[in-house]
Parts: sequence; structure tokens; C-alpha cells
Amino acid sequence: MKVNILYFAQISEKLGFSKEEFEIPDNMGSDALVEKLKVKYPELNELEFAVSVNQILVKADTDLEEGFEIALLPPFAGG
Amino acid sequence: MSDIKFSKEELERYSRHLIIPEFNIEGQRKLKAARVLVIGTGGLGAPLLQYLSAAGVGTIGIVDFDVVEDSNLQRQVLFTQADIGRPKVEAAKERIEAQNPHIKIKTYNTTFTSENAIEITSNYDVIADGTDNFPTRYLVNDLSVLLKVPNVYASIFRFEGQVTVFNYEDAHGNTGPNYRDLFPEPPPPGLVPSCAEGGVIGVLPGILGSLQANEVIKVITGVGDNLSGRLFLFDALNFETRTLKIEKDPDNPLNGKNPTITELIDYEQFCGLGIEKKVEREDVKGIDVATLKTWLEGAEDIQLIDVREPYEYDIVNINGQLIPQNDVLEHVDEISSDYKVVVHCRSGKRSADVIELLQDKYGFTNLYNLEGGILDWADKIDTSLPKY
Repeated sequence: MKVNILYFAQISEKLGFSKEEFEIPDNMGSDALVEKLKVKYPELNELEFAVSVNQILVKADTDLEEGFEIALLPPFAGG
Repeated sequence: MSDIKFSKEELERYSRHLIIPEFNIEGQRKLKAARVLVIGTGGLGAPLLQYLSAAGVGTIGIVDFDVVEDSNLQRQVLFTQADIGRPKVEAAKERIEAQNPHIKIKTYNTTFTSENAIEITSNYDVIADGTDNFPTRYLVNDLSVLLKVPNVYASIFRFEGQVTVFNYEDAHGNTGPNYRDLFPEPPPPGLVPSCAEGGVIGVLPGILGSLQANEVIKVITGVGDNLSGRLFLFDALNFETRTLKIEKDPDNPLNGKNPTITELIDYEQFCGLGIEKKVEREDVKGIDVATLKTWLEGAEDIQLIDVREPYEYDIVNINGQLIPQNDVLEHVDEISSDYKVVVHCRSGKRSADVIELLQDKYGFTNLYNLEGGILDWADKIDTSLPKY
């Protein structure tokens, strides 16, 4: 199934793009997806970020469905 | 609230609020009775202070330790050319008092720390966090939870911003999430660049600080639904917005099921900054700008390497050999191991990281970090150079 991934701030700058469509196995949850992204983009291992699934910030592993939006949100403190 | 009275001048000044049905004179009374502490008088502080004072918030506290610099004026529209070198709180007070003489302004020309935070904040009902670093962000968050005051939060990075309301107690006595529900721990030091290191588009804090001021006014008056429990994200580059729902984390160390933080801590230490400085001093040999000048004028061969980015080199340089930090390992053959090599960046932090890396990986023993970087050179050796 396909999900949409959004990358914010420092992550989008490191990757050079801010969103992409991503093909994942049907039973993949948010934790496994993040691990898969870290393998594809090793830069993610050096960054801290919060994860949201369909505009809800999640701490625990969350089930995904076709078309869900997952966002990776690093902290920033500028003022 | 009915004991809060307005003069004829005030009624005329605030009339555009008074004629909004759901706001009316009750909302204006609440604003006049309110005491808001604005922490940080930077890019966010500028619109915050201007709109909160214009709106008639009765008492505004302003905390900042800094003075106005040239590089502030691109976004900190509270200040003018004539303010350069003045304490920010002093210049800010003068400007907003001129805009609205009916309100009280208190200034705290000091660094906001665990030592003075409680004393300063205990006189206020709402905090607006416009600071620019992680230690103060966590300090302000923990303080707001421990003192039970809402924390209206905004933060910015290059083209992106976030706004929310943390630790807000609603009419039913339920308290919303705080910063540690979002990010329980700060990122490792040096991982996330600040505005000074990463840059910021000037209008961005104007937009985010204005949204933040609007949330402060809603928190005070109770008008509408404020952003408690929701994080608003704005990407000015692609014009994308999102509003994410934030839930309370049972593991929150401040007010989760098993709280481990019951008082303010040392936030520099907590964010790893105190420790990092020590490590750098031990491993990396440093020289000051005066020593570099002597070395360059002496007979001995010196290699000067500039590890900043090309766009920084274009702003100002001191004829160093440009090898950006991320390209250093590919150009290691260009770095002398025979004579003294001085490595510099903007302020001395990136160059210290580069030296540490080269020493660890290749065993260099002839590398020296220019402490204070090109900024210190522009301050003390060649004042004709621009600082950025």
C-alpha cells in the first residue's frame, strides 16, 4: 500500500525534499516504517524527531492504512 | 472584573475590540487585568510585544539579557538603527510605551535561569516563550508546569514555524499537554542549528509571533478555541500548513504517572552544553585572534583553513583556504601535517568539531582552533569586516 510521508525542518533540508509517496507492505505499522526510513536515509539516525500519523502525534506503534499521512517532525528552538 | 475601569481615552483606543460581540468590554477588562511575561525579545518578541501592548494587556514583563545588534534588524522590527548597542529590554520598553501609555511595562535585563525564573514569573498569569535555545525552552516549559501558568509557545527555523499553547487548564480543570509531551528530552547539543547558525527568513517570526500574540489574547479572554492540545505548523517556503493533535504522555517526567522532575534543574547541563564545553577544552588546542595575527605576521609558515560554507565565505573572509565542514574528510590531503594549521569558522564551534574529527581519525597534532572565530577577528583585529 502507499502512504504519504512529510519531512519537516532539518530533515527536509538534509533529504532535499519535503514529501514523498512511499510503498510499504500492507501490515506495516508506524514503528517499522520509521525503521525502514532510517535504513533508506541513514541521515535520520543522527536526528531526533516526533512522528505523527494522520495529524496525530504518536508515541506508540500505530497501524497504517492506504493513503495515511506520516510526518517526521524534528525539534527547533529559534526565536 | 467589574472593578476594572477605563478612561475615555482607553475606551476610544480599544473601541474596535469593544464592538466585537464575543469580545466586548469583558474581554478588554480581562486583558487590562492580565499580566503577561514575554521571555526573549527577538524575532518573535517583536510582534508579541507590539500586539500585546497595542491590545491593552495591563502588565507586560520583558526578559532579555542581550543588546540590539545590526543583524537583529532584518526581523526584529521593534528596534531601529538608533537602538544598536542598547539593552533590548530598554529599547523595547521605550517603543511600546510610546505606542500605548495606558499599560505597565516591567523589564528584566538578565539571563533567564533556574535561579531567577521563579521569582520573576511568580508575578505573571501567562508566559509567552519567544526564546531561541533549547535550555531556556525546557526551563520555561518546566517552570510553567511547576507554577501552573499557561505557556504560549512559538518557535522558528529558516522558513518553518510552530505555535501552540502548553499547560493550559481549561474551564473543566483539565490541563493540556506541555513541551515534554512532544519532545521529552532535548536533542544532543549542536545537532539543531539556531537562527544565528541556520538563518531565518525575516518575515517568518513576524507571522509566528503574531499568531502567538493572538493565542495569548485568547488564553486571557477565553474567547474561541486556543491551540492547547494542537501544534500548528507553517512552512513558508512551500506554503504548507498542518495542525497536529498532541496528546498527554503518561511517561512525561514532569506531570506523567511517575514524575521525576519536581523542581527546576540545571538546563545547560541537561541539554549537554555544560559538558560539551569541557570536553572541547581538553581535546582541542585553541588560540585567540591576537595570537593568530602574530602567527600570520611571523616568519613561520601557517596554514589557515576556513570550514564555513561558501555562502558564508562570500559574506566575509580572512583569506583562509575554504574547506566546508562536511567536505573536510575528502580534502584531508590538502591539510598540512608539517606546520601549524589554524582552523576557523564563524564562532569557533564547527572548527573545534572538525579538529576533534581530524585528530581522532588521522592523529593530527598540529591543529589549532581559532577561538571566537571570524566574529572575534572582526571585533578585535579588523573592525572594518562585517559580522553576521
